[in-house]
Amino acid sequence: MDTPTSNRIMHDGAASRRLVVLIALGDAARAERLAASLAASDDLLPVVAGTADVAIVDDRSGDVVPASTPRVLLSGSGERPVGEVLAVMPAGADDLLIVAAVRLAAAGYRVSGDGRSGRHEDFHAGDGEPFEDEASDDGVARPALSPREAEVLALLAEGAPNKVIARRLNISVHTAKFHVAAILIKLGAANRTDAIAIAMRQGLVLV
Amino acid sequence: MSDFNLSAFSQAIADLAAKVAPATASFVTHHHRTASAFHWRDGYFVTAEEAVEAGEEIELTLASGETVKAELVGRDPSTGVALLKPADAIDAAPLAKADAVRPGNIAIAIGSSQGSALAVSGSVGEVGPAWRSMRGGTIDRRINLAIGAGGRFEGGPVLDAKGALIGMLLFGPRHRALVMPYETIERAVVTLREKGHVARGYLGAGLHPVRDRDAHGAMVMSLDDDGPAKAAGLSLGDIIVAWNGEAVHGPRDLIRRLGPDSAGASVTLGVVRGGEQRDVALTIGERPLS
Repeated sequence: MDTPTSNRIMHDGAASRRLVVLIALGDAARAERLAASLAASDDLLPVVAGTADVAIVDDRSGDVVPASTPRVLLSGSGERPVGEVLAVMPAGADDLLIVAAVRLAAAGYRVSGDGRSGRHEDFHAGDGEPFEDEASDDGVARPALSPREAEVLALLAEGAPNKVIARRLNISVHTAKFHVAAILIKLGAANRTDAIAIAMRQGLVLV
Repeated sequence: MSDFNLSAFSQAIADLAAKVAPATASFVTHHHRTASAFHWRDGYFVTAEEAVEAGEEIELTLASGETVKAELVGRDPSTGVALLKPADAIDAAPLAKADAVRPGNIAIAIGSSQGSALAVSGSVGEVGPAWRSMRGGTIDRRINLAIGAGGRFEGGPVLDAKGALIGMLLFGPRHRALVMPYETIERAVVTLREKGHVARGYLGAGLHPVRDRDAHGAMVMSLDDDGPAKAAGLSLGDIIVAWNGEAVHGPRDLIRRLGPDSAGASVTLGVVRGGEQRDVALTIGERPLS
Protein backbone atom coordinates (compact mmCIF):
# COMPACT_ATOMS: atom_id res chain seq x y z
CA MET A 1 0.00 0.00 0.00
CA ASP A 2 2.81 2.37 0.86
CA THR A 3 4.79 1.83 -2.26
CA PRO A 4 2.38 3.39 -4.78
CA THR A 5 2.01 6.43 -2.54
CA SER A 6 5.70 7.02 -2.27
CA ASN A 7 6.04 6.47 -6.00
CA ARG A 8 3.46 9.08 -6.61
CA ILE A 9 5.17 11.53 -4.34
CA MET A 10 8.39 11.04 -6.21
CA HIS A 11 6.58 11.44 -9.47
CA ASP A 12 4.92 14.61 -8.29
CA GLY A 13 8.26 15.86 -7.08
CA ALA A 14 9.72 15.44 -10.54
CA ALA A 15 6.72 17.02 -12.23
CA SER A 16 6.73 20.02 -9.94
CA ARG A 17 10.21 20.99 -11.13
CA ARG A 18 9.02 24.10 -12.85
CA LEU A 19 10.74 25.91 -15.65
CA VAL A 20 11.86 29.32 -14.35
CA VAL A 21 11.18 31.92 -17.03
CA LEU A 22 12.70 35.37 -16.66
CA ILE A 23 10.55 38.00 -18.32
CA ALA A 24 12.84 40.88 -19.21
CA LEU A 25 10.74 43.00 -21.55
CA GLY A 26 11.03 46.76 -21.96
CA ASP A 27 7.25 46.88 -22.39
CA ALA A 28 5.93 46.57 -18.82
CA ALA A 29 2.29 46.04 -19.76
CA ARG A 30 3.24 43.27 -22.20
CA ALA A 31 5.47 41.69 -19.54
CA GLU A 32 2.57 41.61 -17.10
CA ARG A 33 0.18 39.99 -19.59
CA LEU A 34 2.80 37.45 -20.58
CA ALA A 35 3.54 36.62 -16.94
CA ALA A 36 -0.16 35.93 -16.43
CA SER A 37 -0.24 33.65 -19.51
CA LEU A 38 2.82 31.75 -18.31
CA ALA A 39 1.52 31.42 -14.77
CA ALA A 40 -1.56 29.68 -16.18
CA SER A 41 0.69 26.68 -16.99
CA ASP A 42 1.57 24.51 -13.99
CA ASP A 43 5.07 23.82 -15.23
CA LEU A 44 6.18 27.41 -15.78
CA LEU A 45 7.29 29.92 -13.14
CA PRO A 46 7.55 33.48 -14.45
CA VAL A 47 10.02 35.73 -12.61
CA VAL A 48 11.19 39.29 -13.23
CA ALA A 49 14.69 39.02 -11.78
CA GLY A 50 17.35 36.49 -10.84
CA THR A 51 18.59 33.36 -12.55
CA ALA A 52 16.30 31.46 -14.86
CA ASP A 53 16.17 28.52 -17.25
CA VAL A 54 14.96 30.68 -20.11
CA ALA A 55 14.58 34.42 -20.61
CA ILE A 56 12.07 36.25 -22.76
CA VAL A 57 13.67 39.45 -24.01
CA ASP A 58 12.89 42.19 -26.48
CA ASP A 59 14.93 44.80 -28.33
CA ARG A 60 14.95 47.04 -25.25
CA SER A 61 16.03 44.48 -22.69
CA GLY A 62 19.72 45.45 -22.71
CA ASP A 63 22.16 43.39 -20.68
CA VAL A 64 20.00 42.30 -17.76
CA VAL A 65 20.13 38.66 -18.82
CA PRO A 66 23.35 36.63 -18.46
CA ALA A 67 24.64 35.68 -21.91
CA SER A 68 24.53 31.99 -21.04
CA THR A 69 20.76 31.93 -20.44
CA PRO A 70 18.79 30.69 -23.45
CA ARG A 71 16.58 33.47 -24.76
CA VAL A 72 13.39 33.89 -26.68
CA LEU A 73 13.59 37.24 -28.43
CA LEU A 74 10.46 39.18 -29.31
CA SER A 75 11.84 41.41 -31.96
CA GLY A 76 10.50 44.21 -34.06
CA SER A 77 13.82 44.99 -35.69
CA GLY A 78 15.03 41.63 -36.88
CA GLU A 79 18.49 42.37 -35.47
CA ARG A 80 20.11 39.56 -33.56
CA PRO A 81 21.64 40.52 -30.24
CA VAL A 82 24.58 38.69 -28.70
CA GLY A 83 24.10 35.74 -26.38
CA GLU A 84 22.37 32.45 -26.80
CA VAL A 85 19.21 33.39 -28.65
CA LEU A 86 17.34 30.19 -29.42
CA ALA A 87 14.14 31.65 -30.73
CA VAL A 88 13.27 34.88 -32.48
CA MET A 89 9.61 35.72 -32.75
CA PRO A 90 7.69 38.72 -34.03
CA ALA A 91 7.03 41.35 -31.35
CA GLY A 92 3.29 40.70 -31.67
CA ALA A 93 3.49 36.91 -31.39
CA ASP A 94 0.63 35.13 -29.67
CA ASP A 95 1.25 34.29 -25.99
CA LEU A 96 0.55 30.62 -26.66
CA LEU A 97 3.26 30.56 -29.32
CA ILE A 98 5.69 32.31 -26.99
CA VAL A 99 4.99 29.71 -24.30
CA ALA A 100 5.66 26.96 -26.83
CA ALA A 101 8.91 28.65 -27.88
CA VAL A 102 9.97 28.96 -24.24
CA ARG A 103 9.58 25.24 -23.70
CA LEU A 104 11.41 24.45 -26.92
CA ALA A 105 14.24 26.86 -26.09
CA ALA A 106 14.58 25.33 -22.62
CA ALA A 107 14.89 21.91 -24.27
CA GLY A 108 17.67 23.23 -26.46
CA TYR A 109 15.74 23.59 -29.71
CA ARG A 110 16.56 26.45 -31.97
CA VAL A 111 13.40 28.01 -33.34
CA SER A 112 13.89 29.94 -36.50
CA GLY A 113 11.75 31.43 -39.22
CA ASP A 114 14.26 29.94 -41.64
CA GLY A 115 13.65 32.65 -44.17
CA ARG A 116 10.35 31.23 -45.32
CA SER A 117 7.94 33.78 -46.58
CA GLY A 118 5.31 31.63 -44.92
CA ARG A 119 1.97 32.84 -46.09
CA HIS A 120 0.34 31.08 -48.96
CA GLU A 121 3.22 29.22 -50.39
CA ASP A 122 0.56 27.04 -51.92
CA PHE A 123 -0.38 29.82 -54.27
CA HIS A 124 3.04 30.38 -55.59
CA ALA A 125 1.98 31.38 -59.04
CA GLY A 126 5.67 31.51 -59.81
CA ASP A 127 7.79 34.00 -61.65
CA GLY A 128 9.25 31.38 -63.90
CA GLU A 129 10.36 27.86 -63.18
CA PRO A 130 7.58 26.19 -61.25
CA PHE A 131 10.10 23.98 -59.50
CA GLU A 132 12.51 26.72 -58.54
CA ASP A 133 11.81 26.16 -54.87
CA GLU A 134 12.05 22.37 -54.96
CA ALA A 135 15.66 22.62 -53.90
CA SER A 136 14.71 24.42 -50.72
CA ASP A 137 13.27 21.22 -49.25
CA ASP A 138 16.43 19.25 -49.90
CA GLY A 139 18.56 20.70 -47.16
CA VAL A 140 15.77 20.88 -44.61
CA ALA A 141 16.30 18.46 -41.75
CA ARG A 142 13.14 16.63 -40.81
CA PRO A 143 11.93 18.33 -37.66
CA ALA A 144 11.86 16.08 -34.61
CA LEU A 145 8.25 15.86 -33.50
CA SER A 146 7.36 14.14 -30.26
CA PRO A 147 5.14 11.05 -30.60
CA ARG A 148 2.20 13.09 -29.32
CA GLU A 149 2.90 15.86 -31.82
CA ALA A 150 3.03 13.27 -34.60
CA GLU A 151 -0.44 12.06 -33.56
CA VAL A 152 -1.74 15.63 -33.48
CA LEU A 153 -0.21 16.29 -36.91
CA ALA A 154 -1.92 13.21 -38.38
CA LEU A 155 -5.29 14.44 -37.11
CA LEU A 156 -4.51 17.95 -38.33
CA ALA A 157 -3.90 16.49 -41.78
CA GLU A 158 -7.35 14.88 -41.67
CA GLY A 159 -8.77 18.35 -41.15
CA ALA A 160 -9.68 17.84 -37.51
CA PRO A 161 -10.35 21.02 -35.52
CA ASN A 162 -8.83 21.40 -32.03
CA LYS A 163 -11.99 20.11 -30.38
CA VAL A 164 -11.87 16.86 -32.35
CA ILE A 165 -8.11 16.46 -31.82
CA ALA A 166 -8.70 16.85 -28.07
CA ARG A 167 -11.50 14.28 -28.07
CA ARG A 168 -9.65 11.72 -30.16
CA LEU A 169 -6.47 11.90 -28.09
CA ASN A 170 -8.31 12.30 -24.80
CA ILE A 171 -6.56 15.56 -23.95
CA SER A 172 -7.91 19.04 -23.17
CA VAL A 173 -8.58 21.52 -25.96
CA HIS A 174 -5.98 23.76 -24.34
CA THR A 175 -3.37 20.99 -24.62
CA ALA A 176 -4.39 20.27 -28.22
CA LYS A 177 -3.91 23.96 -29.05
CA PHE A 178 -0.53 23.87 -27.38
CA HIS A 179 0.60 20.88 -29.44
CA VAL A 180 -0.64 22.53 -32.63
CA ALA A 181 1.28 25.71 -31.77
CA ALA A 182 4.45 23.68 -31.13
CA ILE A 183 4.03 21.86 -34.46
CA LEU A 184 3.66 25.15 -36.33
CA ILE A 185 6.86 26.45 -34.73
CA LYS A 186 8.83 23.28 -35.40
CA LEU A 187 7.74 23.17 -39.03
CA GLY A 188 8.18 26.91 -39.52
CA ALA A 189 4.56 27.07 -40.69
CA ALA A 190 2.41 30.18 -40.79
CA ASN A 191 -0.83 28.32 -40.12
CA ARG A 192 -2.47 24.88 -40.19
CA THR A 193 -2.76 24.66 -43.96
CA ASP A 194 0.87 25.62 -44.36
CA ALA A 195 1.89 23.08 -41.69
CA ILE A 196 0.13 20.24 -43.54
CA ALA A 197 1.71 21.21 -46.85
CA ILE A 198 5.18 21.33 -45.27
CA ALA A 199 4.60 18.05 -43.43
CA MET A 200 3.53 16.35 -46.69
CA ARG A 201 6.64 17.55 -48.48
CA GLN A 202 8.86 16.31 -45.66
CA GLY A 203 7.36 12.86 -45.37
CA LEU A 204 5.70 13.51 -42.00
CA VAL A 205 2.21 13.01 -43.42
CA LEU A 206 1.17 10.38 -45.95
CA VAL A 207 0.61 11.75 -49.44
CA MET B 1 -8.64 68.75 -73.95
CA SER B 2 -9.61 65.73 -71.88
CA ASP B 3 -12.95 65.70 -70.19
CA PHE B 4 -11.52 63.49 -67.44
CA ASN B 5 -12.82 64.63 -64.08
CA LEU B 6 -10.62 63.52 -61.20
CA SER B 7 -13.25 64.28 -58.60
CA ALA B 8 -15.90 62.28 -60.46
CA PHE B 9 -13.43 59.38 -60.84
CA SER B 10 -12.79 59.44 -57.09
CA GLN B 11 -16.50 59.53 -56.29
CA ALA B 12 -17.22 56.69 -58.72
CA ILE B 13 -14.75 54.38 -56.96
CA ALA B 14 -16.05 55.32 -53.52
CA ASP B 15 -19.61 54.69 -54.74
CA LEU B 16 -18.68 51.21 -56.01
CA ALA B 17 -17.08 50.43 -52.67
CA ALA B 18 -20.08 51.70 -50.74
CA LYS B 19 -22.46 49.63 -52.85
CA VAL B 20 -20.61 46.39 -52.13
CA ALA B 21 -19.91 47.11 -48.45
CA PRO B 22 -23.15 45.52 -47.15
CA ALA B 23 -22.13 42.20 -48.74
CA THR B 24 -18.85 42.08 -46.79
CA ALA B 25 -18.00 40.89 -43.30
CA SER B 26 -14.90 40.29 -41.21
CA PHE B 27 -13.67 37.86 -38.60
CA VAL B 28 -10.74 37.64 -36.23
CA THR B 29 -7.92 35.29 -37.26
CA HIS B 30 -5.56 33.56 -34.87
CA HIS B 31 -3.01 36.34 -34.77
CA HIS B 32 -5.63 38.83 -33.54
CA ARG B 33 -5.81 40.30 -37.01
CA THR B 34 -8.93 40.45 -39.10
CA ALA B 35 -9.65 39.03 -42.52
CA SER B 36 -12.52 39.76 -44.89
CA ALA B 37 -15.32 37.60 -46.23
CA PHE B 38 -18.15 38.34 -48.62
CA HIS B 39 -21.59 37.09 -49.50
CA TRP B 40 -21.47 34.63 -52.38
CA ARG B 41 -25.11 33.68 -52.78
CA ASP B 42 -27.98 31.94 -50.98
CA GLY B 43 -26.73 33.26 -47.65
CA TYR B 44 -23.29 31.63 -47.99
CA PHE B 45 -20.10 33.65 -47.50
CA VAL B 46 -16.68 32.89 -48.94
CA THR B 47 -13.33 33.81 -47.47
CA ALA B 48 -9.65 32.89 -47.60
CA GLU B 49 -9.18 29.33 -46.37
CA GLU B 50 -5.83 30.06 -44.76
CA ALA B 51 -7.29 32.79 -42.57
CA VAL B 52 -9.76 30.33 -41.02
CA GLU B 53 -7.73 28.57 -38.39
CA ALA B 54 -9.67 26.61 -35.89
CA GLY B 55 -12.28 24.94 -38.05
CA GLU B 56 -14.86 25.73 -35.44
CA GLU B 57 -17.65 28.25 -35.24
CA ILE B 58 -16.68 31.64 -36.57
CA GLU B 59 -18.03 35.00 -35.50
CA LEU B 60 -18.62 37.23 -38.49
CA THR B 61 -18.83 40.98 -38.00
CA LEU B 62 -21.13 42.33 -40.66
CA ALA B 63 -20.80 45.71 -42.35
CA SER B 64 -23.42 47.05 -39.95
CA GLY B 65 -21.16 46.17 -37.01
CA GLU B 66 -23.53 43.42 -35.88
CA THR B 67 -21.99 40.03 -35.20
CA VAL B 68 -23.40 36.71 -36.30
CA LYS B 69 -22.26 33.14 -35.66
CA ALA B 70 -21.28 31.30 -38.82
CA GLU B 71 -20.66 27.63 -39.45
CA LEU B 72 -17.61 26.57 -41.45
CA VAL B 73 -19.24 24.52 -44.22
CA GLY B 74 -15.90 23.43 -45.63
CA ARG B 75 -12.50 24.48 -46.82
CA ASP B 76 -10.60 23.86 -50.03
CA PRO B 77 -6.85 24.34 -49.62
CA SER B 78 -6.36 23.64 -53.34
CA THR B 79 -8.10 26.90 -54.27
CA GLY B 80 -7.83 28.77 -50.97
CA VAL B 81 -11.62 29.02 -50.62
CA ALA B 82 -13.50 28.52 -47.35
CA LEU B 83 -17.29 28.52 -47.27
CA LEU B 84 -19.20 29.97 -44.31
CA LYS B 85 -22.89 29.82 -43.49
CA PRO B 86 -24.10 32.48 -41.06
CA ALA B 87 -26.86 31.38 -38.71
CA ASP B 88 -29.05 34.35 -39.65
CA ALA B 89 -30.13 35.18 -43.17
CA ILE B 90 -28.08 37.98 -44.72
CA ASP B 91 -29.86 40.48 -46.87
CA ALA B 92 -27.29 41.23 -49.56
CA ALA B 93 -27.52 40.72 -53.30
CA PRO B 94 -24.88 38.42 -54.83
CA LEU B 95 -22.21 40.19 -56.86
CA ALA B 96 -22.36 39.91 -60.63
CA LYS B 97 -19.51 38.15 -62.42
CA ALA B 98 -17.02 40.46 -64.10
CA ASP B 99 -16.17 40.15 -67.78
CA ALA B 100 -12.64 39.11 -68.71
CA VAL B 101 -10.04 41.52 -67.38
CA ARG B 102 -6.82 42.67 -69.02
CA PRO B 103 -3.55 43.89 -67.54
CA GLY B 104 -3.94 47.57 -66.74
CA ASN B 105 -7.66 47.40 -65.94
CA ILE B 106 -8.65 49.04 -62.69
CA ALA B 107 -9.13 46.60 -59.82
CA ILE B 108 -10.80 47.61 -56.56
CA ALA B 109 -10.22 45.46 -53.49
CA ILE B 110 -12.95 45.68 -50.90
CA GLY B 111 -12.66 44.58 -47.32
CA SER B 112 -14.22 44.86 -43.95
CA SER B 113 -12.70 45.09 -40.50
CA GLN B 114 -14.95 44.94 -37.47
CA GLY B 115 -17.63 47.03 -39.08
CA SER B 116 -15.32 49.46 -40.91
CA ALA B 117 -15.50 49.43 -44.68
CA LEU B 118 -12.16 49.07 -46.47
CA ALA B 119 -11.39 49.80 -50.10
CA VAL B 120 -8.27 50.30 -52.16
CA SER B 121 -7.87 50.68 -55.88
CA GLY B 122 -5.05 49.53 -58.09
CA SER B 123 -4.79 47.64 -61.30
CA VAL B 124 -4.68 44.18 -62.75
CA GLY B 125 -0.96 43.55 -63.18
CA GLU B 126 -0.94 40.21 -64.97
CA VAL B 127 -3.47 37.95 -66.62
CA GLY B 128 -2.26 34.50 -67.54
CA PRO B 129 -3.61 31.08 -68.39
CA ALA B 130 -4.91 28.44 -65.99
CA TRP B 131 -2.40 27.16 -63.44
CA ARG B 132 -2.17 24.47 -60.83
CA SER B 133 -1.78 25.39 -57.18
CA MET B 134 0.71 23.61 -54.93
CA ARG B 135 -2.12 21.53 -53.51
CA GLY B 136 -3.26 20.47 -56.96
CA GLY B 137 -6.16 22.86 -57.53
CA THR B 138 -6.85 24.02 -61.06
CA ILE B 139 -7.00 27.81 -60.97
CA ASP B 140 -8.78 29.05 -64.08
CA ARG B 141 -6.69 32.14 -64.68
CA ARG B 142 -3.59 33.68 -63.21
CA ILE B 143 -4.55 37.18 -62.12
CA ASN B 144 -1.97 39.17 -60.18
CA LEU B 145 -2.77 42.63 -58.91
CA ALA B 146 -0.72 45.79 -58.53
CA ILE B 147 -2.52 47.06 -55.48
CA GLY B 148 -1.70 48.28 -51.98
CA ALA B 149 -4.04 45.96 -50.12
CA GLY B 150 -3.07 45.00 -46.57
CA GLY B 151 -3.73 41.78 -44.71
CA ARG B 152 -7.24 42.79 -43.66
CA PHE B 153 -8.34 42.62 -47.30
CA GLU B 154 -7.53 38.93 -47.53
CA GLY B 155 -10.64 36.97 -48.47
CA GLY B 156 -12.43 40.10 -49.71
CA PRO B 157 -13.93 40.71 -53.15
CA VAL B 158 -11.98 42.28 -56.01
CA LEU B 159 -14.12 44.33 -58.38
CA ASP B 160 -13.70 45.71 -61.86
CA ALA B 161 -14.60 49.27 -62.88
CA LYS B 162 -18.26 48.29 -63.22
CA GLY B 163 -18.39 46.94 -59.69
CA ALA B 164 -18.61 43.35 -60.94
CA LEU B 165 -16.73 40.56 -59.20
CA ILE B 166 -13.35 39.47 -60.62
CA GLY B 167 -12.70 37.13 -57.69
CA MET B 168 -11.36 36.90 -54.16
CA LEU B 169 -8.16 38.49 -52.90
CA LEU B 170 -5.44 36.17 -51.60
CA PHE B 171 -1.78 36.74 -50.93
CA GLY B 172 0.98 34.72 -52.53
CA PRO B 173 4.62 34.62 -51.42
CA ARG B 174 6.15 37.94 -50.45
CA HIS B 175 2.66 39.25 -49.86
CA ARG B 176 1.90 39.49 -53.56
CA ALA B 177 -1.80 40.08 -54.13
CA LEU B 178 -3.53 37.64 -56.43
CA VAL B 179 -7.11 36.94 -57.37
CA MET B 180 -8.81 33.58 -57.04
CA PRO B 181 -11.04 33.90 -60.13
CA TYR B 182 -14.84 33.85 -59.95
CA GLU B 183 -15.25 30.58 -61.83
CA THR B 184 -12.72 28.81 -59.60
CA ILE B 185 -14.59 29.95 -56.47
CA GLU B 186 -17.85 28.85 -58.05
CA ARG B 187 -16.59 25.28 -58.58
CA ALA B 188 -15.18 25.11 -55.05
CA VAL B 189 -18.44 26.38 -53.56
CA VAL B 190 -20.51 23.79 -55.43
CA THR B 191 -18.31 20.96 -54.13
CA LEU B 192 -18.16 22.31 -50.58
CA ARG B 193 -21.94 22.78 -50.42
CA GLU B 194 -22.43 19.24 -51.67
CA LYS B 195 -19.76 17.36 -49.72
CA GLY B 196 -18.33 19.71 -47.09
CA HIS B 197 -14.83 19.01 -48.36
CA VAL B 198 -12.81 18.73 -51.53
CA ALA B 199 -11.09 15.47 -52.42
CA ARG B 200 -7.42 14.98 -52.90
CA GLY B 201 -5.62 12.15 -54.61
CA TYR B 202 -3.99 9.69 -52.22
CA LEU B 203 -0.99 7.41 -52.71
CA GLY B 204 -0.59 6.31 -49.11
CA ALA B 205 3.12 7.05 -49.00
CA GLY B 206 5.31 9.35 -46.95
CA LEU B 207 7.73 11.07 -49.30
CA HIS B 208 11.00 12.88 -49.07
CA PRO B 209 12.84 14.80 -51.78
CA VAL B 210 15.95 13.12 -53.12
CA ARG B 211 18.52 14.29 -55.56
CA ASP B 212 20.95 11.77 -56.94
CA ARG B 213 23.31 13.37 -59.41
CA ASP B 214 20.94 14.42 -62.19
CA ALA B 215 17.94 12.46 -60.96
CA HIS B 216 15.35 14.21 -58.83
CA GLY B 217 12.44 12.47 -57.27
CA ALA B 218 10.36 11.61 -54.25
CA MET B 219 11.61 8.78 -52.11
CA VAL B 220 9.09 6.55 -50.35
CA MET B 221 9.80 6.84 -46.61
CA SER B 222 6.69 5.17 -45.23
CA LEU B 223 3.67 3.29 -46.59
CA ASP B 224 0.04 2.99 -45.60
CA ASP B 225 -0.66 -0.77 -45.43
CA ASP B 226 -4.04 -0.20 -47.06
CA GLY B 227 -2.94 2.48 -49.52
CA PRO B 228 -2.69 2.37 -53.34
CA ALA B 229 1.12 2.65 -53.32
CA LYS B 230 1.52 -0.47 -51.20
CA ALA B 231 -1.11 -2.35 -53.21
CA ALA B 232 0.82 -1.56 -56.40
CA GLY B 233 3.98 -3.05 -54.90
CA LEU B 234 5.92 0.10 -54.01
CA SER B 235 8.51 -0.41 -51.28
CA LEU B 236 10.35 1.83 -48.88
CA GLY B 237 13.31 3.41 -50.63
CA ASP B 238 11.67 3.46 -54.05
CA ILE B 239 12.09 6.80 -55.79
CA ILE B 240 9.15 8.13 -57.78
CA VAL B 241 10.54 10.01 -60.76
CA ALA B 242 7.69 10.14 -63.28
CA TRP B 243 3.91 10.48 -63.53
CA ASN B 244 2.40 9.23 -66.79
CA GLY B 245 5.73 9.71 -68.51
CA GLU B 246 6.28 13.26 -67.23
CA ALA B 247 9.18 13.90 -64.88
CA VAL B 248 8.36 14.30 -61.20
CA HIS B 249 10.97 16.50 -59.51
CA GLY B 250 10.06 15.71 -55.92
CA PRO B 251 7.24 15.63 -53.37
CA ARG B 252 6.10 19.17 -54.21
CA ASP B 253 5.65 18.24 -57.81
CA LEU B 254 3.87 14.99 -56.94
CA ILE B 255 1.54 16.70 -54.44
CA ARG B 256 0.68 19.25 -57.12
CA ARG B 257 -0.48 16.37 -59.34
CA LEU B 258 -2.53 14.76 -56.57
CA GLY B 259 -5.24 17.40 -56.75
CA PRO B 260 -8.99 16.91 -56.61
CA ASP B 261 -9.19 15.70 -60.25
CA SER B 262 -6.65 12.94 -59.67
CA ALA B 263 -8.77 10.87 -57.27
CA GLY B 264 -9.73 7.58 -58.93
CA ALA B 265 -7.44 8.14 -61.92
CA SER B 266 -5.27 5.34 -63.30
CA VAL B 267 -1.69 6.48 -63.60
CA THR B 268 1.66 4.99 -64.42
CA LEU B 269 4.44 6.02 -62.08
CA GLY B 270 8.08 5.81 -63.08
CA VAL B 271 9.86 4.30 -60.09
CA VAL B 272 13.60 3.89 -59.56
CA ARG B 273 14.58 0.86 -57.48
CA GLY B 274 18.16 -0.34 -57.17
CA GLY B 275 19.22 2.04 -59.92
CA GLU B 276 16.73 0.72 -62.44
CA GLN B 277 13.60 2.53 -63.52
CA ARG B 278 10.38 0.57 -63.91
CA ASP B 279 6.76 1.49 -64.53
CA VAL B 280 4.17 0.88 -61.85
CA ALA B 281 0.47 1.21 -62.69
CA LEU B 282 -1.88 2.17 -59.91
CA THR B 283 -5.24 3.77 -59.22
CA ILE B 284 -5.04 6.96 -57.17
CA GLY B 285 -7.08 6.81 -53.98
CA GLU B 286 -9.11 9.56 -52.38
CA ARG B 287 -8.91 11.48 -49.13
CA PRO B 288 -10.57 14.66 -47.95
CA LEU B 289 -8.22 17.57 -48.67
CA SER B 290 -7.37 19.55 -45.56
